Amino acid sequence: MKVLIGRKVTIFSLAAALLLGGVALILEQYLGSSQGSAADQTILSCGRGVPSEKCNPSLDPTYGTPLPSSNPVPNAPAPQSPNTTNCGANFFSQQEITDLQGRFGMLHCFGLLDTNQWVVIGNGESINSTDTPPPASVGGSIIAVETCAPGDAACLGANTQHSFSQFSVFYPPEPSTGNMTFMTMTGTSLIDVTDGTCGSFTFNTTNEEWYATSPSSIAELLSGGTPPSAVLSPPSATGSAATTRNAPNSVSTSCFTG
Amino acid sequence: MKKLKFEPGFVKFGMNRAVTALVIIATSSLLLINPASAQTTPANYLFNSYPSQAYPPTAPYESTAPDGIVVEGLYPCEGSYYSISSVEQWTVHWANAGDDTVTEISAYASCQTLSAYESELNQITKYVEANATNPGKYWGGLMIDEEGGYGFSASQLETLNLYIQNIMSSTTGLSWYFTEIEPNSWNTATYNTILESSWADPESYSTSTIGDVNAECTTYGMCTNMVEVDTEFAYPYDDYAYVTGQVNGTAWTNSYWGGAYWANLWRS
Repeated sequence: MKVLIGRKVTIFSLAAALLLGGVALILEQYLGSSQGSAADQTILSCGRGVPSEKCNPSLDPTYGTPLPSSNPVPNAPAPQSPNTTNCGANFFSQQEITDLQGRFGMLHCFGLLDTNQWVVIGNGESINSTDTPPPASVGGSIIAVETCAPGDAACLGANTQHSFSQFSVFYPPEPSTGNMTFMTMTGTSLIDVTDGTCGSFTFNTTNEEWYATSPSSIAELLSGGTPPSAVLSPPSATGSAATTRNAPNSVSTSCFTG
Repeated sequence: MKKLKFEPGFVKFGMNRAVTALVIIATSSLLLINPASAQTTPANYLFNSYPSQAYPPTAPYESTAPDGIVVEGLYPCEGSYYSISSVEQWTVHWANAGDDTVTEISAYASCQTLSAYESELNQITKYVEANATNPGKYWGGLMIDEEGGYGFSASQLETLNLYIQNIMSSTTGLSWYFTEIEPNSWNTATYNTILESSWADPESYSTSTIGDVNAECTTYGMCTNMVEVDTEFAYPYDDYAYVTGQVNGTAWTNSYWGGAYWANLWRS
């Protein structure tokens, strides 16, 4: 019996210690570096080094000030509305997505509804590496475009299975270093990216040219008039070719600052 | 005479129950607060719109309209939509419409210097504070997109974040700053340092980036994140429920914005 009770007391003590440990961790989390639930906000830390009034309306004398009765739209540039749609879940087979990500990094995929085009952007970073930062992917950074004939329902379908072999692949000036970030769409066919530290570039899907991004070049491209001078970049490739070769050499003379 | 509580059988039974109960409670408490457990799917989300765009639509996989807006200010080299005046005016526009609003700027070194970004952020902050009716309630503050490929060094970004921290310290109410960092641009220690005292908004775009967010939580205790999800990636990284389910710790929340948990979704 003594042995039995002794063992129970030991287990009881261990369980109590676990419970106390849990309570201590809760206190550490709430009072230390992290936030608790909303209900706790008035007494808890707001985040590591964040002033507590940033999470506590009772400390803010302006809280609850009424809104103005009118709210005019800013006197800013005319509205832009990129007309895009996301690729469907079955746009590529799972095997093809895996292959493409392995070669070109994380993929953006979307359709440009005004130009009947599908766009795939690969950021050129290896997705299988745990290095920081990740090395460039073997195929480099790309923008790939598939242009559909008007009325071609299969090609225009977001959930119809497509093949990357139908795409044309365009490389930014510095594709082999990876690190290309998709920033935004401008107008109906202008894709803005940052090409690592090489610079910010705009790719026009209608004439398949790259431009150094600047307020003046964007304005000229949007105006539809004479476009600015295009920058040099590696030669384009078919989708089939791009998936079997390494990233082409960079054209570093196209890099710029500002 | 009632001897029940002294009978060996009762002692054994009572101890068993007590031990069982304590073990259950202790285990539950550890599970509840364990930073290694995944976020609960955030009920609320921010979705971005570029200056001059309409209020963002319902995001993929979501069933309701966005609960707040990120004014995607990029950087001035992207053209007139992204000039300081355009970004600050659209920020005030949404905040004065009663929308929970954040202003994002991408710190891209090829566009302008660090001091130019500081000047831009200071100017935007002053404008919003002066022109928004109740910025302390509706303006969550600044969000800085900081990525290794953008050309600024880790120490430069630390400098920038300390500068932002300084200017945001004098704002009213909620307004503070988020860092939208690509975590795998740096090792965990450097990532942790760059975060400074920001609200973390880590780009959770891949196994690699999510692994680094979780490493930060485990190693340095920054376990509260407003997870950034790119809605245009291939499945499953376009699905906020999947992505937030991979991130350990707690989603960002704030009483000024109603106390729900939040994620931040991105579109082009």
